[in-house]
Amino acid sequence: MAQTPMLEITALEKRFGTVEVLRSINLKVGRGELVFVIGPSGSGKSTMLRCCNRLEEPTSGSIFIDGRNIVNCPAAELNRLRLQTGMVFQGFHLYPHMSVVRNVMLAQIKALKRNKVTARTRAMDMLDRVGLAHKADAMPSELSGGQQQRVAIARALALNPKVMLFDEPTSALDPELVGSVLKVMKDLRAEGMTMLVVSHEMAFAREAADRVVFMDGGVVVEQGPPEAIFGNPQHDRTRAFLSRVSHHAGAE
Amino acid sequence: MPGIMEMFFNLDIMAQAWPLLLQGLWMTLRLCAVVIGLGLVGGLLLALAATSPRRWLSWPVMALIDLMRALPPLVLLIFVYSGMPFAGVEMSPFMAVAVAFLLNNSAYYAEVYRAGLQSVPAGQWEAARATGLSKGQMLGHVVIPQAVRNVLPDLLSNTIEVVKLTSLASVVSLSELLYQANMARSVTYNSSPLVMAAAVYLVLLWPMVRLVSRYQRKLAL
Amino acid sequence: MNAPAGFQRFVEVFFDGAIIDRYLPDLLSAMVTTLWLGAIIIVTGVAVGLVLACLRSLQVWWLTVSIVMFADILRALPPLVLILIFYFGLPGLGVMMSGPLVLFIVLAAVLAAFCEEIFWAGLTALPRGQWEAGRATGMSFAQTLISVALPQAVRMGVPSLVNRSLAITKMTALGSVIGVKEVLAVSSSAQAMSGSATPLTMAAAAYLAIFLPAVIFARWLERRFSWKV
Repeated sequence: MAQTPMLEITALEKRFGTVEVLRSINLKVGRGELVFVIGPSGSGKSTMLRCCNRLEEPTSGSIFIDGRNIVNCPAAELNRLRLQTGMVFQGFHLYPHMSVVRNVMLAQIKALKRNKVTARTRAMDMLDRVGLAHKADAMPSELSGGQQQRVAIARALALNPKVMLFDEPTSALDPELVGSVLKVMKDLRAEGMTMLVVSHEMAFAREAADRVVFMDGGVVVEQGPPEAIFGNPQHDRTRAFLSRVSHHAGAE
Repeated sequence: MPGIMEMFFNLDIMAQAWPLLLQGLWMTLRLCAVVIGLGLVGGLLLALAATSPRRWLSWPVMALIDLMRALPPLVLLIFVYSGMPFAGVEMSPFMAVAVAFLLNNSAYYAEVYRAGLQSVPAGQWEAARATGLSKGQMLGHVVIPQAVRNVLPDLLSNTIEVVKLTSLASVVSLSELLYQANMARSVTYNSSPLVMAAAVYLVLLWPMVRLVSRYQRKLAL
Repeated sequence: MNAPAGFQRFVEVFFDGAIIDRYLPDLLSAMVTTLWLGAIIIVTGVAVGLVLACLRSLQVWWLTVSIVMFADILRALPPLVLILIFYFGLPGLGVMMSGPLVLFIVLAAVLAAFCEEIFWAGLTALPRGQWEAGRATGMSFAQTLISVALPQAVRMGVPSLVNRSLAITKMTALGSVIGVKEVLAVSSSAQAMSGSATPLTMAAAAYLAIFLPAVIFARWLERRFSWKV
């Protein structure tokens, strides 16, 4: 990687009161890279992800997006910086009072100041990209969970983010709906989108990730290519976690 | 020109008026006891009738409830107090007030109960019936307790409204709290008794208002 | 007295045609007063309540404390107490206000207090993810509040808002105590002058004509808005 990484986290710390949630996290995501973060619940992976667009305020450390430190940026600029990261939540969080296409248009109009026509065209393109152009005028409540999550991805993509952050995007979905969301993510990767993904979809990580990061107890325990992490983990904690997960997966 | 303190917070006048207000408070509390007590029971009966599958029962009751919701309580009160004697029905002010407010409030309580009864899932009725409970047992042990718990904040909020409502009785010269305070005001040409009455209402109702807010937020979360 | 005669007497007392003819014009103009007062009270009360709920969402402590105090006090006090204090007390300080103005100020303030609580309950009931989705897509706090949070809070509150607005608009009848020429005042004085109960029947009919459609509308709204977000 000769260029500066698209996302770089250095010495990130996060405390809630006296509880240390993240300790000296260092992590790089290169341009067009798909980095997968795995780890037991409570390991701090979601908190780390949420620090990347400052939905969570880091206690100390730096987070560079395309070379620009977002941690010390003034509140006034924060809204503009957040446009560089697209966030996909576990619970979708579509706006229930707006149609699908209006969901995708809203921030384009309010935050990017695009006019309505441009925003609608862009929204329809993005909905087409996630295979839901035909649902543009439906209300979110009329969609399945998988469809809602794909709309949420379209909503984030419409703002031309540099990095996409996925916070357990398939955890709230019925098993048969997971595939459609993963397919959209795979397409994004093929198109060169930089992605940081917190997820339990191990099979998907093995298949699609460029790098896998294992977190436990608020620290990065180890990271490497998926073959290395899944095939030959170096740490006991990684091994214990992976055997627990695979055992669990086998039992299903 | 006299200052705010002298006109609204005159301690001498408040001290003079206090015994009068205390008598008024006693009357207010008696009125509340009657209207709230009977209203809670009457409202439940009305609600049961309004949710009955028998239309000859539910429709007239719903119509009565809507009628009462559409009439301002003061209009109802004046009608009962000044109008009924024309029909040969003479009532003491206390009776007139109690009857008018009871009509009004049973309807409001009924609306609250009705929402509660409808919030009990059909499965609960079925479970009660499947375990062989009689209709009365089903209502008394399964449905009504859940319904009441679901709408407790609204019942409380309506009860606050009843206490505030009793102040209207002053219009027909029933010597409740506000009437006494207003009498004291007109005798002393000073508003301090009214302010003191306001303070008494606040002491009575503010904790309940807080409780309702707390409750509603908890339910919402 | 036999039954038909009793019935006839009842009709004469409560539905006297001559009295109806005589007082109908007065009553109709009083209805206009009631409607007009009710309309400005609702518009002002709901608007002020909305603004207060928005200010409260800024979470500035002294703003929050003042708003909560305002809302609590106005929800705990009987409106008639405030009306009497404003109408009879303030002139002592040299502040003279007409009956309609006092009625408008007090009832609009009371409605604003209730509306603030209803909107605020809606805002706090909103899942946090809705705020986060707005902020994460680069919208400011104000933009998220206006485009995402408020529309949902308002929708959640519509049934309570309608019921509360109705209850408070009905209190315009309290204006009769301070000389506002609304429906109850006009019919009460007509009753006193004519010595007949008919004007009171007319008052009841007038209120039903105004509020019964509103009550039925409220019922319809309640059913329509009972969907879950």
